[in-house]
Amino acid sequence: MKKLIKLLKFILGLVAMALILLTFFTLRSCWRGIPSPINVQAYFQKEIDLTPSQIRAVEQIGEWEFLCITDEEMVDTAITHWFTPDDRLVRIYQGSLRLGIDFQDCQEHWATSKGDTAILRLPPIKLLDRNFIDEARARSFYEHGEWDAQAKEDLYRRAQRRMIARCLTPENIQRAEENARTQMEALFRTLGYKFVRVEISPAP
Amino acid sequence: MKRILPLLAALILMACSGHKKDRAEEQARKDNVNLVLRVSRQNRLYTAEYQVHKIVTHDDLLHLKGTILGFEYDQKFSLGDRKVAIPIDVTLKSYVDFSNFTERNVERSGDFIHITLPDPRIVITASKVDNKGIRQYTSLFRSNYTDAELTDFTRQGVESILEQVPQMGILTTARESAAQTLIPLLTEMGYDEEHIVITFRQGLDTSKVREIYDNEGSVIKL
Repeated sequence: MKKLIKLLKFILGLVAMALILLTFFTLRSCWRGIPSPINVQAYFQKEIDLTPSQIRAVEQIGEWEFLCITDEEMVDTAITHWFTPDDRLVRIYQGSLRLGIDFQDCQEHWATSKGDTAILRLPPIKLLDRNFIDEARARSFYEHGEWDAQAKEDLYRRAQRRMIARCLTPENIQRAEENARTQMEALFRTLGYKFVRVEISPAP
Repeated sequence: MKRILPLLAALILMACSGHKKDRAEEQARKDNVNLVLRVSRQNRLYTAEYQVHKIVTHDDLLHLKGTILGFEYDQKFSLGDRKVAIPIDVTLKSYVDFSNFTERNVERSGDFIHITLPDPRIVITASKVDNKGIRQYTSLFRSNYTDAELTDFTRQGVESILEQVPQMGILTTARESAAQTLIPLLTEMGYDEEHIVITFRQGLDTSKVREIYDNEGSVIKL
């Protein structure tokens, strides 16, 4: 027992001495500007670890984009407490909704020519990909309390629904149709056709 | 008094614990502010799509770094350790921009047609965190990761996927797919398949992400 107390005293003495030395050198460094021989910095690593990326699927697609709408939506959720402050989570999501045509929707002989006239029958303009939110650019604007996966998933879905409601409007579909006509006419004139007729099926 | 005491205790317990409001009521409370809406006309043909999965990990260890009497050190301590693994899915698409496609890109000679397409570009169109798949391990002395920290790790994860893009061969697929989309279109217009040649500009350095990455339309800026 006495040996243990002696050992503890010795360790405590060493720690105290180290602290005194550290304080002395730090103060000297601060006052006189002499670099301290003892320099300690504590930090936590902010960078992620290096891990591999896995390609899950590769797909050949044929989507022609005519209008891109970049949108930001702020959504929040809250849990109310009676006596303590409410838990609240506010997130800002960003997304790019791309409107255009998918060549998979084209019917047979959708592009034909008669002499110097090109005739194009395009499918309806639609949202090319419903997966358009970039969570990598989402921002956590305010957070108080602990939030589970379901709460975050609900916020994501709500932001997605709101972006679709705000951006997939008849006006924007009409803009995309107008641009589709302009671009297709220009492209086929470049290919050598004097006249280009573009018909776009109306959006359902 | 004996009857009132349990009732009071139950009331206090109810008061202290939080409760989730009904979905409808909660929905009504949630404010939604529309921030930015930018509309731009495009003329892009998307030809290939890649789904990339990554598990982003972070080990939050305490590091002590410095010098003692001229000796440098950088020591890790597992005291107060916490770890997180975040599964993310990223959608990458390659496209050919026809905005600057002019007569200089087309050569016709009789029944033959030769089209030189603009350089293909790559854009990240979406990224999604699998919130239910996130795993966190936190020691007694530390708090859980905040939402802001998790979002920052997700952003770093997507950036690291971008760094690996040149090794994925996405541009080769993009070029092949562009040709496979345009050749049927030209055959429909009356050209013989054997008389169609589609090429891309030579000299594009595909080993550098900055050369092929669409900074404007993507979520991550390089």
